[in-house]
Amino acid sequence: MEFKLEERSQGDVVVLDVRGNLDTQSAPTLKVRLDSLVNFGHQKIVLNLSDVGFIDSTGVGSLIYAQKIINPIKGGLRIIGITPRNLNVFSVMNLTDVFSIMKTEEAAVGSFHSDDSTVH
Amino acid sequence: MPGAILVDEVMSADVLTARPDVSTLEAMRMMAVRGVGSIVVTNGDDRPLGIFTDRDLFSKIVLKNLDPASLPVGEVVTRDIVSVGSGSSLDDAHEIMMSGDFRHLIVTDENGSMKGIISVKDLIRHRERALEKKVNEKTSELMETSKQLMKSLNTIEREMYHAGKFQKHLVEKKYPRIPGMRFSHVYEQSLHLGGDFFSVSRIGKGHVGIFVADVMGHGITSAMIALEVKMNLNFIAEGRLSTSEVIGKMNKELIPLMPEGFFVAGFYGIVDISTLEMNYTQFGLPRPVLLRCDKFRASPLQPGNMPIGIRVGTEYVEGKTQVRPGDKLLLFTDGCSEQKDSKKRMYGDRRFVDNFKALSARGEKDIVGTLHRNVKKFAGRQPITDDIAILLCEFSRCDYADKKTSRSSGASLKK
Repeated sequence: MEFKLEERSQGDVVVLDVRGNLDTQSAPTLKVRLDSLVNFGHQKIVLNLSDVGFIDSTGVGSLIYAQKIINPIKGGLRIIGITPRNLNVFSVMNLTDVFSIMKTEEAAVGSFHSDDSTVH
Repeated sequence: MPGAILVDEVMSADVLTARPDVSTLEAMRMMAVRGVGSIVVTNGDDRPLGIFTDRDLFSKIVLKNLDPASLPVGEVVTRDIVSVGSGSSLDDAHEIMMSGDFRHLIVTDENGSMKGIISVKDLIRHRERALEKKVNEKTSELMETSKQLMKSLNTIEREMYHAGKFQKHLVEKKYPRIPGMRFSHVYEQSLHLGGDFFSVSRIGKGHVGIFVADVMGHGITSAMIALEVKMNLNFIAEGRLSTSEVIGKMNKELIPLMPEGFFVAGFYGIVDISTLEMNYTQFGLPRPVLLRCDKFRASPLQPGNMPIGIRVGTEYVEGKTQVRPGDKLLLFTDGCSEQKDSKKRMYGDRRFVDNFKALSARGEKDIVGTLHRNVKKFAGRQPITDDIAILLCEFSRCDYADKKTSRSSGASLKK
């Protein structure tokens, strides 16, 4: 499956649909797109990984990168649609609690607003 | 305008002229012979009386059904001549032509004398030549840049090749002689420089430290981080027997240096040479496997921790296991399990471990060699996309038994 990123907006939240494998070849593309989103002031990002075949360690690195460049006070990174196989990659690396993994897009988008109310 | 192209550089100084009484047909013939689209009518001097162009042929002769053979050209010329001064820029001439839809401009000097003629064709031809010249110049520049780039790439490639050889030498040091333990490994960098490394070293007289690390990615950054990890290990591990303490300290040291998105996964185990008790901390690598000699069952070592370099203040935990003579400990980096075949399928941890179990009766060098070959066979023509490190530690029956016999007061195995 060809690697593809599609961007959608839900208010001030950007949902990035990731398609293909997140690996050595594609991870730099994701990092560049995330850089560009953050540079344009987007700090609330949801990564939809439901169409990701597999994630290798470099792919995991790109997600850690995302986690680090997004300012948690202004927003954050949410991951949705992760398949059991890819969740296992996180488990083996003991990274499940590093990321905010959510079940649905609604929950992920909503979490930013509940975070807002907490902050204010 | 400084640097601007002047009309004088592009115009034709050899202007085709005819007297006014020449027939229009003759004038047309002269134009055809010279291959030009206009003829200037003069009284034989350099003062133009008018201009006849191929456009006039249609509008003034063909459409009016006149006979060019009997019509003097002087009667059909355009007398309202548009000219441009000598020394004007080509851009000015272009502007005049475009604004008035003129195809020819007569170039005159300050006295109104004709110096030449410039046509749209001349202008286009000049622009084409200028463009071609520019393209040629840019192509030469690009070729020169590309040559320089290739030169730089070759230098980097050569540097990386030598650095990679040096790194391989650093990693593949001779194992220390440890009674009851034999080691074997495979180490392959996917680029010249890799982010994987391993080390086996004595800690004091009674312990041996086994370390395998995989820095995310490969290439110069990963290799530099790997070197930093190795230096940290040498410094931090000295005299410490708690693996979680060493890894925790290493995490603290490395986090400020780590580029965003990079991390180090690995395993650190310390084996008590006299009891074969091993405490260990694993941090994000594919689970190391301990193959028990009596049960031929491979069990992944628990618990796990997150890799180094991700979170400040991570508390690393360590496990403890009793190794027995004949057991084999297999440590491998994810370059083995994440290798893909032509259909983009991953080799996978399970396949790697099953392969290890199937090979377990063989000698340790044969095991690691075959494990490596099988990964490469699976990859087929696909490139090896990540560094590969496989380290096998075999706890020998004979050596250990001899050692125990010779030590009447030696520590007993913890069951």
